[in-house]
Amino acid sequence: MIFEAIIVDDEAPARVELINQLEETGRVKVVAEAVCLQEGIAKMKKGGIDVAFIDHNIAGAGSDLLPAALPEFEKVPALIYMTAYENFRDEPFGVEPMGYLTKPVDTNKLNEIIRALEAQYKREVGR
Amino acid sequence: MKILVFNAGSSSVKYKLIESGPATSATAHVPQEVVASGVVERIGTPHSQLISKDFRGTITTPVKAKNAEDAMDAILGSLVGEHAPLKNLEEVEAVGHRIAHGGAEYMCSVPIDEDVKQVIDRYSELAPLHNPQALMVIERCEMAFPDLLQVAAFDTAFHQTMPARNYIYPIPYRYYEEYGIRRFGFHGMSHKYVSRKAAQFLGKDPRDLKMITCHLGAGASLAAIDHGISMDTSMGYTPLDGIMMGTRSGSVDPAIITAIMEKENLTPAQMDQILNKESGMLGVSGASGDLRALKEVIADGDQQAELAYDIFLTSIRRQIGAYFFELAGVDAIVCTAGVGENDPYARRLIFRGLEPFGIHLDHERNMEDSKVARRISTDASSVEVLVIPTDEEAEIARDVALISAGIDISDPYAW
Repeated sequence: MIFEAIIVDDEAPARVELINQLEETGRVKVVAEAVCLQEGIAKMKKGGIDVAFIDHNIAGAGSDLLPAALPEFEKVPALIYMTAYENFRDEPFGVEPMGYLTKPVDTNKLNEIIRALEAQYKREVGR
Repeated sequence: MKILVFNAGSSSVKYKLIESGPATSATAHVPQEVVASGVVERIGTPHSQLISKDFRGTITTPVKAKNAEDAMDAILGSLVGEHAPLKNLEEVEAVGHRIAHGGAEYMCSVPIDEDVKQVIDRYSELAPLHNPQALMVIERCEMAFPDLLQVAAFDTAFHQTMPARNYIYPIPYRYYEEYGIRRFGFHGMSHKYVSRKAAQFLGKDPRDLKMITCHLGAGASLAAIDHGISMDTSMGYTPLDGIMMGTRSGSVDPAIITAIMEKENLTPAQMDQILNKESGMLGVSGASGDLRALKEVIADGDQQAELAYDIFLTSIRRQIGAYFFELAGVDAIVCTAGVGENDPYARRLIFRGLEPFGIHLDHERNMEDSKVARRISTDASSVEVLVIPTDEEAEIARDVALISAGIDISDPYAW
């Protein structure tokens, strides 16, 4: 299983860095990028996204855009919030995420997230 | 629908009468045809004249234009008549105005009401040569077209999506809080137009591309556009910031300004004049701020003129490099306006030696004399280098058509 991902972040260098880290794992392919939450939601609505890495400070955060859009998703991707500080845990989009990552992303933490994704996928397939 | 677009400058009023097709959505193509265009120039001098272009050909008429209002009378007079583009003014269905400065108030073009006029007036302090003239043109239109939709298209609007890290200057924060001193950016209608046209040329959605747009005219600015959103731009609080220009310095060490003011005992207004009107290519060469004239002097062996040209091209390369890194690489670089569209030698010098960054210029394509959107990079180049002729009036007319059709363009982030 190769997971298809979107990265929602207005800092292009952070997106490119994460794309490279994800592709190095060989288990995640980034199929879309977005610079704001509205664009991210529009791209997620098109479907085919398994996991969304979203910067917690992105334009549109603090609104109810994401909860309002969730019912329209064919499949809700696993949500990973990207923060700038270790142990910073907020819910800027009003939706509980599957996990948090601190930028710049530590490879071990990224692998932990991917293992969690795989475990969740197995549970879903096994159901 | 017939849309009349006005662009009021310091000593000119330009206009375009555009027949616009229907606007169906914020992203759809809106077909347009120019019915008439022209300019009243040298307003306020004894030599003011109207140059009009329509089915009758290009006609130059001396007019008495003391101010923008007189210029408007001349323009409206020339548009209407038995053998004129319009039988009567009622044929016009909406009016658009280019407004130089709207500050951070607007992220898009808006219908003009009293509040909008107040904002335009408020920002006259930062655009003293443009905003008051535009207000005069708006008020003349309110008389001529009392019931029509009038739209203000701000040069600053497109860039109001910039994140704070790019619009806050590294000076005490209170100047931003107390006086609103921040980067605004300009040439927005041009950057917006060419970025959309570039995506169209590439057969892609602008929301899937990273690009750098280079508006290189007498005034010049670059913009870093990430997925259709302006992230950064070289002009700042005023159009003086950024790269070197015809007569404007662009960014210089701020200490130079206080040093010169002290040495020559200058007032702020005098220093402003030096930086805006006597610097740039004119200032360095001592010959001209116009690149075509400058190149003639260079051909005669003038080394100072050559130095001015070198500084200009280097300042563009430096800015492209900065945005290339800021966006962590780009899909396309777009050249537009006078120099960007018409000077293949400048383009060659700007883009030479950039092959390690995936930028490969195709020299034959670059030299081709053409007036249409085109690719000047090789097919193998990983970064597309494009020349896209700009058309700010077309972009204004497009916004007017969208607003007139009731399409919401207020949220630049909206999908």
